Amino acid sequence: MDTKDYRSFKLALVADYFINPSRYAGLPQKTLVYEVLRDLGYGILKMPEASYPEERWIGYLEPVMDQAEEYIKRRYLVIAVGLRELHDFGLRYSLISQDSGRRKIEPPRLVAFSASEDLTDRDEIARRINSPL
Amino acid sequence: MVRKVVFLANCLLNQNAKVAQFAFYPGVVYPIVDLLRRKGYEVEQLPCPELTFMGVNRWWQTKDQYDTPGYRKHCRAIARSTADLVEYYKRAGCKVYLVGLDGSPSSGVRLTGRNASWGGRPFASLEQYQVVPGKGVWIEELEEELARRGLAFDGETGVPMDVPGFKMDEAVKELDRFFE
Repeated sequence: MDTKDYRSFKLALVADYFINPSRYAGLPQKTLVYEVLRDLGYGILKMPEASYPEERWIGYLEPVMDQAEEYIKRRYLVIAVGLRELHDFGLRYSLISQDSGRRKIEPPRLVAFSASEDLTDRDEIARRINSPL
Repeated sequence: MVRKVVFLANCLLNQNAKVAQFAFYPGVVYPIVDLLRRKGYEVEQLPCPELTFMGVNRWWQTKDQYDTPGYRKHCRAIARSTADLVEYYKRAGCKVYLVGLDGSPSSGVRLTGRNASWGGRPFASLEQYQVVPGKGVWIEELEEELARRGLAFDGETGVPMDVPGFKMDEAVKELDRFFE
């Protein structure tokens, strides 16, 4: 058996748009954000589509935040990747921040892209994801 | 055109969720995820109840060890918000599919792992992990929650990454045929 473990110790909470752009008719259909996250080795915790009913987001987020808290406690890197044009970045980032406070963990660093940027510039996307600022 | 949504086991998008020595990719299991995206499937992700129950540093476990009232209660609680999302897509008229993680004690769809004698001080070897037909605890509880709502997946299969001797190229071909 191969006893090497290939995990990256890096994760991203990712807005649905970047995985399923076809659901967002008014936004660019060509985006490399998913591909860059994949190629940088990030594990993905995917959010529901932006139009998912508001009252159901809290229920969806609870196990996601339980996972995020466990990873953060074990010193895995956890970031959040959203889109400015979507309500609360397509992540309900304000809920994530509030819940992080309640859990006494640092909220995942937000990397916010915009539909007005070139979302096909692989190097720039990678720079933004990797940037500590 | 009918929208097709596929719910993936958590670790197919996030290998950090795996027990030690079972993460075969850094993050995304891209041969599987990219195949489904290329074929026009919308991708959703199940939560990982093992991770939120026993943490990321948990030992290897069999279905026998996870088959407890406490773990099933934990899975049922998570199944409610997951079933909400499945129901949302079903009500929107989508075809909804499941791709689990075959061999897993929790997320297996066609195969799971058993050994009635595992327990106590961990001296386990992989050879003692008996892969047998059946579903994992999490998938059983999720499908029971869906059944209570009169719902079911329109099709389901698994990627056998927790089965000894797993080969990705064969798994991709099998999944490609399943979703033809």
